[in-house]
Amino acid sequence: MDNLASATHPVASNAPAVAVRGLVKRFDKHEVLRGLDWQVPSGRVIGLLGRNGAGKTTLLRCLVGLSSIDAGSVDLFGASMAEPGGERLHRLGFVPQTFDLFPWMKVRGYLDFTAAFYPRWDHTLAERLLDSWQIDRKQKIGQLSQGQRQKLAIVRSLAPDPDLLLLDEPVASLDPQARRAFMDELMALVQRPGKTVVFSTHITADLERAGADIALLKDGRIVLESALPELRQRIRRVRFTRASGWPDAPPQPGVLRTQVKGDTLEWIVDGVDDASLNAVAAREGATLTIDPMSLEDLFVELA
Amino acid sequence: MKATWQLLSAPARRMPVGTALVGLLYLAGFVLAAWLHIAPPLGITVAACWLWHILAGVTGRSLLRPETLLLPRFRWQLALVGLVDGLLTVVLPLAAFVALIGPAHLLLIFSGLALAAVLGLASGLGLRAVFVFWVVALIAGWMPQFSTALAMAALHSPLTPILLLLAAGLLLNMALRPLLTLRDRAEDESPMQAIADGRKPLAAADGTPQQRGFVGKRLSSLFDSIAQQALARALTRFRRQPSGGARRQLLRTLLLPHDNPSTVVIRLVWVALVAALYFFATHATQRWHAGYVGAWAVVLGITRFSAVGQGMVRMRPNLADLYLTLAPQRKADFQRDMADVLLWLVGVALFNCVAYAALAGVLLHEHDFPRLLLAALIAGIGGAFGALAAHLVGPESTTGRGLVQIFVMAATAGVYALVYWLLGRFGLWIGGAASLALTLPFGIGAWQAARTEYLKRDPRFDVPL
Repeated sequence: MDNLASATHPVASNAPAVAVRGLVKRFDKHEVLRGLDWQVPSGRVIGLLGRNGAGKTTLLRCLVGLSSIDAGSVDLFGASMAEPGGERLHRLGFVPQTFDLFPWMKVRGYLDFTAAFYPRWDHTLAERLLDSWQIDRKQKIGQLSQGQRQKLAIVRSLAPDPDLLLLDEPVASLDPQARRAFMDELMALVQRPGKTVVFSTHITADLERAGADIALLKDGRIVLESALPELRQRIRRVRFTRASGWPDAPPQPGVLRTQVKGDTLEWIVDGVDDASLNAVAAREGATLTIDPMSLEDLFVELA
Repeated sequence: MKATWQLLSAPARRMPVGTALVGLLYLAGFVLAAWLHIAPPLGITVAACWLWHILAGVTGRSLLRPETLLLPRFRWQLALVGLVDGLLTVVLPLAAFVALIGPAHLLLIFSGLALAAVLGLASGLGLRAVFVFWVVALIAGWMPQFSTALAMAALHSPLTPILLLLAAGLLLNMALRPLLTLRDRAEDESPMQAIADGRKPLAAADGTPQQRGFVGKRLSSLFDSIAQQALARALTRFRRQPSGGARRQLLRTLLLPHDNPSTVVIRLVWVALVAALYFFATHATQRWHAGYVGAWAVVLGITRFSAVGQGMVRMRPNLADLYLTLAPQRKADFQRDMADVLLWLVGVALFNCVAYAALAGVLLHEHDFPRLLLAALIAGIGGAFGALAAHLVGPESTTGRGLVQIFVMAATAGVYALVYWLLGRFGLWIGGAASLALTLPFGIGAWQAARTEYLKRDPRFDVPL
């Protein structure tokens, strides 16, 4: 791990890794981010969820400074990103959704070039990942497959030992083995103190495996932030069954969705306690079943 | 019909300036034919037909990708477009000429126009075999009496139209067959790479991967190898002493990998070989004035900058990674790095201008050699700085860039003519000083103004539309 011990960056103890206030981003007249407020404390793993077109990529690019913003502010490590701020960018790791590296460069040359600018670059990790993922160092990047390019982008983002890792659907093109290996590396990284990871993905199993907190982007804002166990505790699927069926569903605050299937009334509820549900079951003469929901089910319901 | 129209009009939409030029050429051919009632203007029409099909080939090359080939009835649409294009560019002009100057050599004119169309299309599509025709033309120029006798015999032979049509069919097959086959084509070159230095076809300008022949592959491999070595040297220097100069050199090896001294010299040798071959083939029939050739040399030297405007736009997504790597303090610092790296091209262009002019002087036995070189140098300074400035902050659209490039080339040729005249009129010292006093402040001033404007702009990393 060359240079790693000798060059460590200060990690602001109090400042959140990411602080976004009133962020607005438009593409022509289309407003993608609408006054978004968001804070990501240092040392957390956040899964950024949202439907296609919700603005996840735009948000991540605005955080890094790759997209201009129309209003609001973005702070990373407690300082404004109005200007990149020099070495601060070296504390960032970013894996974009598309891998626009340098297609005319060879893998070896590209990594050597990039490493030359970083005060801390984990050569051992980079070499190990290249070997493990069988990326030919002599091949031109433009000749790599999409999956290999994604792997290379991940190598490039992990090798500088970043304090904040922003990953935009980083495993979309990876095979299951590579995805698992990537998640292992990610877990190893986040176990170090002060490391923060934000990654958008549609593979919710990875977020569950990483024990990530969830942030849901919808209608240009972060509409939900929660730790996964807390979310599971809050949002549940409940079923009431009775022989006479359900011509009218009973009113109940906290119900997100109602569906009637034959003699079963199904609710998705947010923050409704067991006592209230049991009371409904008793009042309606129905049997009650409460099921936990997978993250994917939660995503489908909420997004 | 909508798809047919889309395909047919694609070259005009993509290259409106070139299309307008073709239109003017057609018009000039018909007007002259109507006015003079003789055949010579036919050459202008053939040239227009050839040029139009180069544009069509360049456009077709970027269209003929696996994604489009899988569109429903795409090949049928393509055939229909070919038919309509043939009617418009071969049959219609033929009918016009018959109406204007009579039916003489009808079949020959038809087959000649068809061959010109296919030659242009094949050139635009990047078929290397078209060089055979240029070699034949060169040999013809080398032996003018023999070639004239042969041309006269061919003119009266009934087999000539058949031969020309067969050649056209063969070329068309050779050019289209590989592009109509589904296969992967990886893009693996820097968008900023030279696309106007004679080594690459125009098709590469929009990122279309080009086919390479035997020589092209060897040259590309050699250039890549040299670029890798240059990168390794620049890395060693930067690691040893990360100074501003070492940083710029390293960035240059990344962004302009084939613009290092070795590759510049190799390209020059290549151009010298081609120019010498052409000169020896044509010197018996053509008389060249070194002063005019010097203008061509200077304009050729600055064409390198057209790739800057195109490359900077195409490279935006790639620059995102570089932005994070360089970690500039301010956005303007990143812009400054980019602008300063490109300044290297002024040196490359100047070297090319002077070297091409020297080559012209040697081949043409120019008696006023210093005047030629000095004119190329001084006009090259103004042209190179001006071209870089124009492309750095100029328009992003293809049309806008095309117009800028035409303006820059015309202005440079004009400056060269003025400098050449001043040197002839007032001598090397006084004329040179006066020329330098005109071009140097203008060139550097334009560059400084463009650089200042460029630094004010935020770096952009979005995918160009």
